[in-house]
Amino acid sequence: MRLTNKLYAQHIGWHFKKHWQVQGRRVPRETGAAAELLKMGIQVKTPDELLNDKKEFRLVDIVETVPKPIVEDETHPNWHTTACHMFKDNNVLLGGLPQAQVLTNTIEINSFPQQIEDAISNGQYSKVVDRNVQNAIFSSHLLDAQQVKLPKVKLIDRPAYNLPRLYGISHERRNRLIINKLLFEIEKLAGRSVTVRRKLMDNVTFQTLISKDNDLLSFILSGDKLISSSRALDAVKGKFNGELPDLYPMKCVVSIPKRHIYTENNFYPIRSEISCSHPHTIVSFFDKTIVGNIHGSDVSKTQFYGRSMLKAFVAAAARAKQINGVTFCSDLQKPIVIQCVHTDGREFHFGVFQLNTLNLDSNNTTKNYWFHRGSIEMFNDCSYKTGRPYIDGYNSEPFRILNAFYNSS
Amino acid sequence: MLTLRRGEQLRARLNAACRRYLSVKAEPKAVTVADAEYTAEPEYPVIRDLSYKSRKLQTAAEWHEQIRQLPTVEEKMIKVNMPRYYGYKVVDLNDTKIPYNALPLTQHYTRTVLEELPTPQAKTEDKKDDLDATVKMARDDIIEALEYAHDVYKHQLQLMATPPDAVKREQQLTQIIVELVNRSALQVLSADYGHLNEVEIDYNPRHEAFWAVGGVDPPKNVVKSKEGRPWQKDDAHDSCDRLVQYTGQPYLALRHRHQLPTWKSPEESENLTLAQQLPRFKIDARTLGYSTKYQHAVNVPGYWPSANAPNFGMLSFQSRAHLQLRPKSCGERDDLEALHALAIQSSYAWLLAQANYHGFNTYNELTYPWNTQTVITNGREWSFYEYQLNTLLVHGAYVDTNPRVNFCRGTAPQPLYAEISTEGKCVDFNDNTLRQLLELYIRAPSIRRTADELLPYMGGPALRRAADYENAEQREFLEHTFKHLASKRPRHLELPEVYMWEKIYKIDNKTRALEARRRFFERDINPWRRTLDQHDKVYVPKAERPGGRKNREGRFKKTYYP
Repeated sequence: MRLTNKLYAQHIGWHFKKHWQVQGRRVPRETGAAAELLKMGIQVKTPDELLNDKKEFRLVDIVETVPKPIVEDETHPNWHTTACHMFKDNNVLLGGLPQAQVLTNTIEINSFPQQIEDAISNGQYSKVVDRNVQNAIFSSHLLDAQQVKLPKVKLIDRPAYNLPRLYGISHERRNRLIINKLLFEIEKLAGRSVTVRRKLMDNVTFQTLISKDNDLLSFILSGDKLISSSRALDAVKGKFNGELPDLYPMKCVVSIPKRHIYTENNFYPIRSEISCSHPHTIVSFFDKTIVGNIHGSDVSKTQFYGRSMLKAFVAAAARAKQINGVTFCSDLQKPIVIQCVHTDGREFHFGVFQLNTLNLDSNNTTKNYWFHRGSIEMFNDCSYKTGRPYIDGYNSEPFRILNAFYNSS
Repeated sequence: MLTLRRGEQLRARLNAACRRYLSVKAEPKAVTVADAEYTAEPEYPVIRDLSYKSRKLQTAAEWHEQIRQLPTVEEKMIKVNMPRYYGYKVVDLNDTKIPYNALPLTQHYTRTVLEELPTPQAKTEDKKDDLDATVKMARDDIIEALEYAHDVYKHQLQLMATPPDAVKREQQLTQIIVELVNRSALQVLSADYGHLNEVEIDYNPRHEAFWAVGGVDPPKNVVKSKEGRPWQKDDAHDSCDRLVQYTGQPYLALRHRHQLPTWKSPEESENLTLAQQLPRFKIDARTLGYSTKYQHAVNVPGYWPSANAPNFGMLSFQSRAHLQLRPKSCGERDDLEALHALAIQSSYAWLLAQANYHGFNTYNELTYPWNTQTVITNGREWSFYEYQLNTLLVHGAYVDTNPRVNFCRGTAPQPLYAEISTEGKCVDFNDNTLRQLLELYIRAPSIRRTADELLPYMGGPALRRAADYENAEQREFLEHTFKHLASKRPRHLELPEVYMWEKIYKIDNKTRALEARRRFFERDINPWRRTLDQHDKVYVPKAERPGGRKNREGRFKKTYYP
């Protein structure tokens, strides 16, 4: 069936409209009259100029329900002339751990402090605990009944292929549940004497501003869970020496975007007057759909490690500045130690950061310490296989380390 | 000539056939009658009422029986959904909106007797018991947790350029408080009360329940349609069932492997006079402000069916943040009634969903009672409820005839503290409220039943969930279909719709007589009658086909709809 016929039959007005559009596009033919008149010195004006006065339109300031976003230019209240490198949650350092080390003036030690190593190796768990941990994995990864639209899945060899969208447990919720359930298990083991000295808090933010070799760096990072303690963690015993890695030809602030709009305040989520305000452990989640390189490529392992270290560093720095004042930037009298757990629900990376100095200049001889081991997988695969829950390659090591971290003081 | 020959042929054939027939008739039969066919007393088949109404009731009862016979949780749920491809029209009950005067409706829809308990008074010195020591021990922990929560939340609000609205703020703060208070309570009590070591904590779980309610006046279109049919004319004003779907998300829920003890005996629970005294909300729920929507029946108590999950709810913490939005002009008791309604709805729905994982549903009655405890809180005000679920039958005539009733008892909200002072200190902490809260934790789930007693309508010890089937394809199909129904994912093609111009030019005035009749209403197709299994089957590519590429039988994936 021809569409035009049908339209004509039903809607003659449409044809008039089309006719009008076609006619409206006609260009007047050049007759040469204007040129002749100009030659005679007569000014030629278009009818538009005579009939329609020129009006100047001014913008009217309308009060809307949603406040207008503030323009991001020099008029912005937080505009600074010196640009600052802003590092936020969705970014990673291009150079990974080595870059993080140079940035924060930290040396890497490839093991945990002795006391934690001992606690890990001494930890003895009954079979009941092991089963509870496996149940925790099941109930957070498979059995929770949340069903939200999950992010798009792309096949690498067929990027244009649209797979059906899956509904299931969101990444954030999955991580929150597994951490909560593991901590619940650990607190049952630890008993009341330890747990009264700890407090848990979800979704906290750390913010700090630091200068390094004439570069300004602003960090706004979140911790998905903060375990605070009534006593600060003791400094790690022993002296550690090491060299900072050489990043040449890269500079240590590469891949951290520059901004002129930033605030100079320092934020630690708990006021220092509260008894249980000392940072003990921060748990942060890694969601690859949110976190990525600024050029869009996937996050590598060393970048993952770098992110854990920066999180620990920023939490420690925010705490140090809260205690010693916002402008403080020298060696600390009493080092701040903070433990960090970084996980995507399956892979766990543990580290202990000791902040010895906030003076990050490269000529400073005092270095911060970062104790860590490579990341460990809690399991290879946890999913429904032909209609049955299935776990493959369960490893209790992350739970043991987390337990040791929780109990360390 | 030709025609004559044809006629002769036909006649000959007829003659042969007749002869054959006669010969068969004439043969003597071997008369052997089994004695079993005769009995001394004549046994007549049951005389069935063949009226339209009773035939309808009969088919419904058969359907309920079919659901009961199914062996697994997943299949029962799919079976309930089978009649509607696009989902049922359900009244949308949820925990974010309790309209004014919702209590009678709630009591009718859940068949619940509400008992308001007086606020317990502080115990005098001479009546001290062992709980006092525990309260004293927990007191400092809880106060510290409250102060900590308020302080940290207040501190974090400074960071935000635009703070969230009041309801959101209350939800966020209460979530922190409830988690901290729960943690402290468990720490203090778990040494003395062993059952607390076995609880499973659900954080913001998904609670959903579906049920059918009878005794509601029919809508106008149903009355009109019935009045148009002579055989239904007399029943036009009979009440009809409404389907209800509750959706909620408590702050926290605790589950245990065993059931809580009951607090009403079976004799007290079966009381027809009490049942008939329950309020009856005959008019449509939309008159109150509830809305309706189309969705599949979903029953979820926060987790998927699994082999060894703690299946019995012990305690849930519900939000009352939406109470802030209620106008003060509704009267003094309005807030209290809204809290009662929320407590009843959430407890009933959670228990129904749990019972559903044990083979019961709105059409198949419980065989033993279920209990749970509910707390509604905003951090400061706490109300405590206990609920006993005795019956699930509220549909059809059961709303009049079912002697069993459910019970809910609870108190008015009580403050846990008067306020948090500007210095961040907790003022006027109320030990009495804390005591009641701890009592909920202390009540040990002690009722243990054998598996046969627990799961009377399931397929026996070897077959309770879809995962128990031997056939892998069937397992996968059931699991996938069950979750697909629960996901509320929109259908790929939207529900067919009569456009306005079609109503005018095609239905009301037949102005387009020459046009081909392709639309569903021109071909007498009722899209609402489409059942769940009326869809194209999934094609299996040749490369993956069992039995080789040429196997035509395996072209489409098998379906296992119950």
